[in-house]
Amino acid sequence: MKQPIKILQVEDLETDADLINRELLKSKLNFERLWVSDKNAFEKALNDYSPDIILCDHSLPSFTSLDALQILKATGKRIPFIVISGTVSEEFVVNMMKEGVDDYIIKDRLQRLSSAITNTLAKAGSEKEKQRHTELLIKSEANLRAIFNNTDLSFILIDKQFKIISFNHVAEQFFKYQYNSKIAEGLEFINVIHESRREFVGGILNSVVEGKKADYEISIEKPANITLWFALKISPIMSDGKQILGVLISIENITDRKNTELEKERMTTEIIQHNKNLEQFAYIISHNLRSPVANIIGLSNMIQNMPGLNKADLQRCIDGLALSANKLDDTIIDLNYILQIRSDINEQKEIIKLNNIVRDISSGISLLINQEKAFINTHFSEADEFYSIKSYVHSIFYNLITNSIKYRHPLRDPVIEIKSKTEPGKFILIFKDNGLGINLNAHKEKVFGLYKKFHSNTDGKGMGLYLVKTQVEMLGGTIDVKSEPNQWTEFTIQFFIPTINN
Amino acid sequence: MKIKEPKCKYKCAMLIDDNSLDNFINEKTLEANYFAKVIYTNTSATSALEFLKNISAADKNPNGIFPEVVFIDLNMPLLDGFQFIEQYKSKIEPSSKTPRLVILTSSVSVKDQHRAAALGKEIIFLHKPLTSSMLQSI
Repeated sequence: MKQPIKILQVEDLETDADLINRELLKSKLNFERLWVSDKNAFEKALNDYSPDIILCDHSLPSFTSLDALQILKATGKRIPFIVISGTVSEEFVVNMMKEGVDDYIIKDRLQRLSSAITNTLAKAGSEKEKQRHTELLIKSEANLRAIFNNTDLSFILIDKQFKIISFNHVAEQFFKYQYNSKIAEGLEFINVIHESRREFVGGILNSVVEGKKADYEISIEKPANITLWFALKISPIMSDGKQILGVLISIENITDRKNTELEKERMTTEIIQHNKNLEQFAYIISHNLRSPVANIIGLSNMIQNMPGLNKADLQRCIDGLALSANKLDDTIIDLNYILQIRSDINEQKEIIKLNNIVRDISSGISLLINQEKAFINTHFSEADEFYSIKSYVHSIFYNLITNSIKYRHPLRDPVIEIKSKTEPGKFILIFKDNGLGINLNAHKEKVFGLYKKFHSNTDGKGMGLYLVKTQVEMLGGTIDVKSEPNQWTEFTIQFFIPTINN
Repeated sequence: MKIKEPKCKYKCAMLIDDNSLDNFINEKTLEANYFAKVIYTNTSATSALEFLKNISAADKNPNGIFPEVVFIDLNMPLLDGFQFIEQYKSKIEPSSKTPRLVILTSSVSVKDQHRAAALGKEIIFLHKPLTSSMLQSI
């Protein structure tokens, strides 16, 4: 021991105190000593001196060794206590030991003193150490327990045979809500998970007990229509000697994070698509602006540089100039219109009655409808209202209806069927006609393209379906087309209605 | 058709453009530059393809002169210029003489030029309007 042992000696007689001191000096003990002879001095020394060990005479004038022991106990300190006395009865010794005295030495046999001190201190030291370890263990277990029970993660501990050893409250809730199963200590882990997952999870557990780690995500549809996402981490629990003791499974609800990720992905895809559309738009517009300009240059070159042109050709050049100039103007007007429509997205949304839309359009084009003997059948009983931007919805209906009449079949009166319906999270419009149809095998990608035409015998210029698609997409919807050439064409428009999600 | 001066550069050329005004300008420019003795004009790539198929099959017929230069517009309905070239190359070219393919477009897009180059290095890419100096380079 580096520090000298601090010995508190309680003895009324100086001769006896010296005697004991001499005995201590004789031994090889490294010590220092404080000698007190009465109760007050003893109490004071307990506080100020903090001895490592107390050597106490049994019979003192003001108090006995048992009184001294009581005083020590009352302080709450655990200091080894050795009684030194003259001859006493065996019964007395037993009683002393019961009270908590560590050793007892008879004054006639003081040679045993040094070994008694050493042994007592060693015993007290190991006890103290044990006490400290126990306290640490309790503290660390309490810490772990607190973490275990106060986290948002589900934790399940299983042994090498996959029997559940322990789990936290979150884990219990997880299995209750997701699998309607109750987990309990001692159950086979594989039995508390869903039947369809057992083979997969079993395989993973087998690889984990061989020392591997597993990390994966799952989605569960529960309650219906709401997808929850979970991240699972399954790892072996190893002893210091790298022996596998069991498996720790943690399950984290990552639904929010996942939804944000998915939303981000969806938005990126949308932005890429928008960008593509804009590129396409710029390309088409540049072509449609450039084309009449090239003709104007070509025609003026001819007039300037071809003196041999006859009168008819010259007239054709002049007519061509006028035609090209008008075409240029039309394109600029179209361009302006399309840009205008794009900015209409900022208009206020309102409840739109589908019947009113169709009625307004019908009266607006009543001349065309009468002339072509067209018939519009509406089926809006399932969903007769729609919350959206009115000018867009009007334009979508207008373009699809007039297209159906423009591209009518020559041998039958045009009939247009318009149906609305709802599905969870969706509002659906279906337009079906009995017209010329479109050969989609050849033109699927171009159907909605700007200035794309599929029939050469009409006055269409390839704007209608482009506008429809633009407006549907700006309202966050999709449009799809099916057709049987010479039989019918059907457009299906789906708008996504955000669901109220608690 | 009026008989031109005998010193025409080529015997026969073909114009494919859905716009008749463009065909008019191109035809007059070819004529003024004595580019070809015979000029076929087509307002659709589909009909042009059909026509070429027929005269290619009737190769022995002296009346069917296969064009030495074909001018093709890019932006056409139903079958566009690129699709025309693809179909021409796969269906007609292997069994007939190969004319110069000239894309004649109002497009100033670099993408279109790259797409044309990808179809064949020999394809000439010209921007409308057609001029005398362009014709001299063919």
